[in-house]
Amino acid sequence: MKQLTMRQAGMMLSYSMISVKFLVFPALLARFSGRDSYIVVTICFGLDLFFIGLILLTLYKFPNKTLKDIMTETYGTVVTRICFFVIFLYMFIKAILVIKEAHTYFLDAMFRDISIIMFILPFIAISLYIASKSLKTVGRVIEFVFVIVFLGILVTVIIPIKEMDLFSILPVLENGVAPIGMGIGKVAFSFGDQIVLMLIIGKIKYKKEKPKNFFFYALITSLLVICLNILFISLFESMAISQQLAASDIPLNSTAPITIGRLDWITIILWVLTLIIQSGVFMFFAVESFAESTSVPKNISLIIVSFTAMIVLFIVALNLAKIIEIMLTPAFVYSAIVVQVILPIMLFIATLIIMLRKKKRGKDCEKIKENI
Amino acid sequence: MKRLKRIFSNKVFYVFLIFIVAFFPSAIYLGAEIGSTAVGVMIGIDKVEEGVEVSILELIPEKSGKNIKLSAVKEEDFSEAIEKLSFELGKKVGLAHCQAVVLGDEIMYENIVFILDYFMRANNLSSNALIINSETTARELFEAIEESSQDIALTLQDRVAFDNKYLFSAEMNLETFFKDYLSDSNSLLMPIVSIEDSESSSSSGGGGSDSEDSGSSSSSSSGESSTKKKLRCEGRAAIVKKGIKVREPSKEELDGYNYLGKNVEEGNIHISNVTDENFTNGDLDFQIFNKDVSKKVKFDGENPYCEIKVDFVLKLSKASSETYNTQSLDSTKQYVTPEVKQKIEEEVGGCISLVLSEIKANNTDTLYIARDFNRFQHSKWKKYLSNLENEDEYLQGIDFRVSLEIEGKL
Repeated sequence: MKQLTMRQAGMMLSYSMISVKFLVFPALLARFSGRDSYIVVTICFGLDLFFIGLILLTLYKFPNKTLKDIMTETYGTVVTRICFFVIFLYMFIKAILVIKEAHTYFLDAMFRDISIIMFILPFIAISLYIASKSLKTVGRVIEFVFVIVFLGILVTVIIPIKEMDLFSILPVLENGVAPIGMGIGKVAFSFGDQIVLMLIIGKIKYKKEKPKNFFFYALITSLLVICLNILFISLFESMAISQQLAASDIPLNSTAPITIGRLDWITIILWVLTLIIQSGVFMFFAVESFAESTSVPKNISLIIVSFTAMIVLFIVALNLAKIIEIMLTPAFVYSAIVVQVILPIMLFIATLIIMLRKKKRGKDCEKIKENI
Repeated sequence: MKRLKRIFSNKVFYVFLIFIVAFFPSAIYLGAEIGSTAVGVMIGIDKVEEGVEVSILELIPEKSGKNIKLSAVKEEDFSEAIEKLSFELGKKVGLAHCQAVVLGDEIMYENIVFILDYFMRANNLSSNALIINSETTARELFEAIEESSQDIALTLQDRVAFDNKYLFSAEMNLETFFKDYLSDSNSLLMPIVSIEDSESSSSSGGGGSDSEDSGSSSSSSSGESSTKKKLRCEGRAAIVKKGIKVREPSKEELDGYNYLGKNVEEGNIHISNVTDENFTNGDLDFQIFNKDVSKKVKFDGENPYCEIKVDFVLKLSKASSETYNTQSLDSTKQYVTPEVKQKIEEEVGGCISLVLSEIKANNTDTLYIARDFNRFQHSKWKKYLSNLENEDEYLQGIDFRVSLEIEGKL
């Protein structure tokens, strides 16, 4: 069933691309790549855009086929289910990361101390409520808040712009290319938002003349994130690694809000809204993927995923440092790269195979017609 | 009735209800945060015999009475002192609203990085809290604030943000301190705040007198005049290198910093004994209407040099002359004659030269020369440094080429 307009799909992709990149990501990247962080972001977005292009090819050729249809047709049910389970894990971890980052954001920007239980329970409840809705509803919510959220991000970027020293990013590649490679490897998990696009293909009211809309949204978002990264490095320079969450540290660091009013509160409110919806969107896809991989009905999947999320958050991931530590382990890094690279390539190959089969079938039909 | 039915059949309503039921009891019995947290608006650190003295100006949000309370403790170690302070106050020391960290003058001659490092890691101090050097001790400064205009503790950041337009070194927060400390230049200017006694008259016998309210430190004669302590942030600064205070620049040197500061947009230039077509032996004040500073670092072969260009647009703001003729009141004239230009060049150039000679003599790179060379001439700069016997003395080999451009404004 077609549930999303092209506009909503583009916004959803854009929203996912922002996701974890405005919080702990800039400081984490600064740890590995220093002032060359923006180069890492540019390269990673370049790769993401390339894979988005590959997925758009599938969308262009088979606008009515979903990921499940294409994968099952080419690789069979078992492989498809494994792929969906991998996607479930991927989306689930991203959702958990966003929820935990939101908790840290609350601590950083608003409260001295906030009970994890008091925070997680309502947050998960809202995320799962979003997850329980249809893709159409999620798409509409994103469409509704998109402009507000983007304005929030713009304000976050604009407030301290006067205090930034753009030349802080110089000298370029002071320590060679090794830190760039290290950065790409370590923060790969924060990218790979093409997976979201993979999950919504076949559910979009696709108009063939407008595929560039997706690129437009992806490109604008990429540029915004690159700008934020440059701003972050320019503002904090060598202190970038000591920051926690860019979205709160950037406005809080600036002395401008003191003299022009509490503009930082506007960004805080908008960021809370952004984080709630982001975690909801990731939860939505996690539940959907879980349902697809296990054939468990969506309602039961929802309960299973919600319990797992609570167990993970309460027992395993009580602090952000621990989550980041796990994210930086080689096993996690390689798994993330495999998911982000292998799955789009698998989809691309499946598309080619179906196209070839179709072509062959066409030729066979022609031969039969000729014979008749 | 229908509407009620619709509400009761809505799942969201029940989710909302669960939250209300779950959080209502805990929220209703929650004590006021102010009861468990002391809202510190300024924190001060002094060196004492016992080790360090930590003072805090606590904000007490009450309608009447004193809103600011000073508490202080002495301990061997800084973090122990903070802990002891919490015990003394009976509350946790909350620094989220802290406007400034004030360092007493004596402690400035020790490595203050280890103290400020605590605030960086503690994560409960806002990163834009100002770092200030008190001319005397931080405690004395706080006593003055407590006694006199209490709201200074709350408006200090606004004042400094405003002053920053006029004074080169005024804005130094925790973040900028560490940025400068960790930069290639590792020298910085930190604002000095001092206390001054000012006489204030009060009506004798009248209720609610000024002296009572401000808590005067001494009264010369009962009910007539009192000495009020006033806080002064007038552009004085301390030069800090590698976290240790090195010295305090002179007034002329600070003027030089003001002329060289890119952020310093406003100010005055005073010249005297000007004799030209308009004035005879005139004392003139020019307002800096516009200023543009550009700094370029280059290499001449293997020799580094720094080109500093300062463009001034000046407007005559005050004039006193032996002969006051109508010519000097002509509003269509801009008064920057060759004679005036020469005098201003002498005045401004002298101050700038003083800054440059002092930074060379003391190896205190407060103009971020090393940082700029590293950014824009990276490989040549590395080579230059490797050829030096003592890398710390890199300023000695740098040639400064200063040019001034002075224009008048109608």
